[in-house]
Amino acid sequence: MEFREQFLQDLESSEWWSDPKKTLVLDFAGVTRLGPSWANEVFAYYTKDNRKPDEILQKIQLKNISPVKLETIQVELKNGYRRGKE
Amino acid sequence: MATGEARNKLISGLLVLAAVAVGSFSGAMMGFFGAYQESRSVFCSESLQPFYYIATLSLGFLGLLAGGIYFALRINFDRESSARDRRNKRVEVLIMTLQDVEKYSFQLLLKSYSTSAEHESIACYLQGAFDQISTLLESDTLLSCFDSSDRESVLALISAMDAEFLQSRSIIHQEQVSSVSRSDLADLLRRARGSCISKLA
Repeated sequence: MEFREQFLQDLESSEWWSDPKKTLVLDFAGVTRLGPSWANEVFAYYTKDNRKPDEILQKIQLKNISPVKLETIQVELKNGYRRGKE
Repeated sequence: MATGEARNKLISGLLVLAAVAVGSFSGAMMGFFGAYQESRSVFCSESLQPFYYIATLSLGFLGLLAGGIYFALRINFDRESSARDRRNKRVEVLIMTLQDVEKYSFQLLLKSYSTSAEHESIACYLQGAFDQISTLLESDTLLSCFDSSDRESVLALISAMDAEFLQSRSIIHQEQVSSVSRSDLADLLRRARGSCISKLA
């Protein structure tokens, strides 16, 4: 939550999401551990407005991320999206 | 296990040496035999002597070539075998960790702990196990043999149990967390274990 409030405040506005020119790049170089709960807090939050995981990952680009960390985020996004639909 | 590996290496080394020695020996013997025939020129006519020379040299060369091919194949086989052993060991560790995760996850799910200290130790173990699983999956050895769906089945289990663990700790700051049912957990564990077992060669 702190991370989101500190670094991702722009993403709170729906204008940011609707503007195709706006993207965010997160660089994961040097990140050794990425927990599912962190991925849930940071990324799955944005599925609340029924945004699809692919759509979120198009707007938030993840750089230098390992396949396992990327899949951890994808799993959380899928779970968040699924729960949002239920 | 290490002794067995060392013994295999020793045997393969001896076999390679034997193959090279046989090749060299056969080459030398054929050369010697050719020279002997040339000096005596009793067994064959002079017109056949160049043929014997070429034949003996060719046989010697073929012996060396066969030794070399065997040596190259043996090295390749040893390398593949050692990569397979390394991968199997890591997959076995992954399966054993998943077995422990199963035990502790059910304890957490069924709330079969009496004190908060016990709960904390289960939670600590699970966190450590999840870190270990992630590290194993990220290792070069397993990254290549686990495809995206295999990894996802393991990560889905970690995700579900991590959420459950946070919920049981009542420190949820997550936005959307739902409790995992026993059948959900059993299904996730079955899928994760199945993905790992299929990688054992």
